[in-house]
Amino acid sequence: MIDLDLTVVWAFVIAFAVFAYVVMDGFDLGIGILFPLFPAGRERDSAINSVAPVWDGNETWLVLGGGGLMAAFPLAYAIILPALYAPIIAMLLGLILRGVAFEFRWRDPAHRPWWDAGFTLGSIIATLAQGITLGALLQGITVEGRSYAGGWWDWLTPFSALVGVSLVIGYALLGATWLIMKSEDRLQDHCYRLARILGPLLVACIVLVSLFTPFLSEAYYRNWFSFPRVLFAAQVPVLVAIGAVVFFVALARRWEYWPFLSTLALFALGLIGLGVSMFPYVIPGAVTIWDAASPAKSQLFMLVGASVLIPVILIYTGYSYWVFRGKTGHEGYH
Amino acid sequence: MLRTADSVSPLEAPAVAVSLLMFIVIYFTVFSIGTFYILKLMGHAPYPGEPGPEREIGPHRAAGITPAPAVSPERTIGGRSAEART
Repeated sequence: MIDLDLTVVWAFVIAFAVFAYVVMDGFDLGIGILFPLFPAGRERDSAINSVAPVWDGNETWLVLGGGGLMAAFPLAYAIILPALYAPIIAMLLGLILRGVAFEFRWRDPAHRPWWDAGFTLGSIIATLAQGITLGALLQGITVEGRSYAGGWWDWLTPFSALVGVSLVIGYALLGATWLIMKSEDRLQDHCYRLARILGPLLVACIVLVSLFTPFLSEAYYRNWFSFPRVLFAAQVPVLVAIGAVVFFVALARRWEYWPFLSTLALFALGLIGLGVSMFPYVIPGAVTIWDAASPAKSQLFMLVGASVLIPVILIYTGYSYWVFRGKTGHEGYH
Repeated sequence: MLRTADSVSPLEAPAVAVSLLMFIVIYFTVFSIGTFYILKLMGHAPYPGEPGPEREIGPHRAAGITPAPAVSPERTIGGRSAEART
């Protein structure tokens, strides 16, 4: 316990929650984004069926990330939430809309096109808002003393919009590659075609965002290119290139699992890249994780709880994915 | 120790008002559609000898509690099979 820095541990717990959220909710938001491209009927029903058993457990991680931030880094929470109020509220409203549409489209076939539209709209709003939130955090938040001191539209810039659109493309690709794993025949062929378009788009977005980021602030530039750090940092783009190659090979040879897994790897590398840029800041240039940390006693108390609960959540989540493994049809119980 | 007035976040009233209004609009829309849907279901009175629920195409349950149509009559207490056996 002595040489273990609880604050760093919590930073990793929250980073893990964010990653788990992206891994699990990314593909089902992506299916929402792609929904209008699937013809109504069988394809849409299969697509929905493939996520129906797991989608509402996926948002657990959003709660863990947000709750963990509040408990372990209260100052960061107090600054980030007012600064990003608009996109965060928009995300919540989007998630409400899509959750409701998910349930009602089966019960109310007469208005199914409306519910499907709501499903797509909610998914796109939630994803855009998440991307914009991330972009706005990366580009920096105006802090004065211990509170947010910027304007109400600070979160909306070309950079944050770029990150928002990139995330929409990324989640759409996760959705398409998830369906490649989970579906057959026409829907699967359709998703191979979509992935062939979305894959290059996502790679282009990753390159664009990566080129932009080091020039947002001097600190980012130093974090990527100063000597000891560059040895670690330089591996990230190399691994991204390898991941992209695996993705395109898998797609060309129609391996069913690898397109999804390699897309997840790209997301993981994006998160590591984010860590390279930001660490040890939680609000870039203004607040480090140690500035924002709650007292060690509270962090320890919560870590005890988290170290029991996180494995439990992982086990039951893993079990539910195991139960619903394999291909899904367009009918039956899910 | 800390008065509510001292602990407010630096959000201006219009920002909070807009978000509150959005929540009200969305919740009212969703819940009124739900209420309307339930009332519509209740509008059909049951009659003796009406056909049971059909085997629907599609999931009976996306999340949450299991609705009646998802429970097969064979598995319920006092269902058809139980009657058949006696």
